Amino acid sequence: MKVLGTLWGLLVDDGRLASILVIALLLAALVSHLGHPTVGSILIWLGLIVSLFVSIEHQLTLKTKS
Amino acid sequence: MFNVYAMLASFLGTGVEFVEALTIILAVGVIRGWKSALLGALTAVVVLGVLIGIIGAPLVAIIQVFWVQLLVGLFMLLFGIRWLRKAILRYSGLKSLHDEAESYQEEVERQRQAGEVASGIDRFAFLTTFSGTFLEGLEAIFIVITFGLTAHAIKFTIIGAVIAVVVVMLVGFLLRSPLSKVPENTMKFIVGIMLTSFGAFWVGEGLNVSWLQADVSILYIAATLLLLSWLTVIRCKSKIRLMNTQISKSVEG
Repeated sequence: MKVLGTLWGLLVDDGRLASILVIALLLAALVSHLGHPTVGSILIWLGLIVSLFVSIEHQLTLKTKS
Repeated sequence: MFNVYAMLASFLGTGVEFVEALTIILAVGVIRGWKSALLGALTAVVVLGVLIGIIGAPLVAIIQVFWVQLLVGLFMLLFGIRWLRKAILRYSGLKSLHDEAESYQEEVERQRQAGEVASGIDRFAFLTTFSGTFLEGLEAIFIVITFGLTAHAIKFTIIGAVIAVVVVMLVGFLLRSPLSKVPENTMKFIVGIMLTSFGAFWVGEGLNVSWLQADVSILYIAATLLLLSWLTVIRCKSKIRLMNTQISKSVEG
């Protein structure tokens, strides 16, 4: 667990971004397993966009509030 | 009998894989240093060489490529999106453009504290080029073996792959110098987009999703990220400018 925690810390700057991305990947795996592989690819694609948008938006809000 | 078709098919098929590996090696090499980037790629080649030397053609049946795609893809995706996010923050003015050396040192320090650093080797660079080259090399080997055995022309598919390696290496050597002239943050931005696109594609392949237009999807994922980044930077800059104007007005008032 400690190794995983360290690796996570080294690879991930923003937990918000990583969490959204991981949720998108899990959903993609699920829908793909349920027989909708194309929907799975769209979910990954959307996951990238939404996670980046939310993460940058959060930084912008922090900046404007400071 | 000389089998041009098998050789050409292998050259083109493996060439695509080698170009993908080369792109990663060049990008990581320019940003994080050639020593670790090339060492990572070379280690992958040696590991693949040993595997193919020991196991031979049955390697295709033994290694489950989707596990490799999933692990390598996840690593590249998380690493790539981290770089992309930082590059967007810098272009937007939400993070300073001039703290590259400082943040790199911080990162090395973090790794050192985590007991993960050996002297002189950038582990991120090593792991990125190792995993990228390993996966692409594995796919190239699969192309050579499966196509060679099916067409009963393994000798010619190997020759095709060797020619592809030589051509791609030559291209890499020629591109090395012009690429190093690209500004650092721009290069990091491009690499962030590239690793994120490759990573997303491979994770998707590992999860058995179906990408429209297969490998070409890497390009449209990259195009989407580029567009999103551009719009985000414009929006952030305009908001920050507006905020600064309001602040200066209130100070003057």
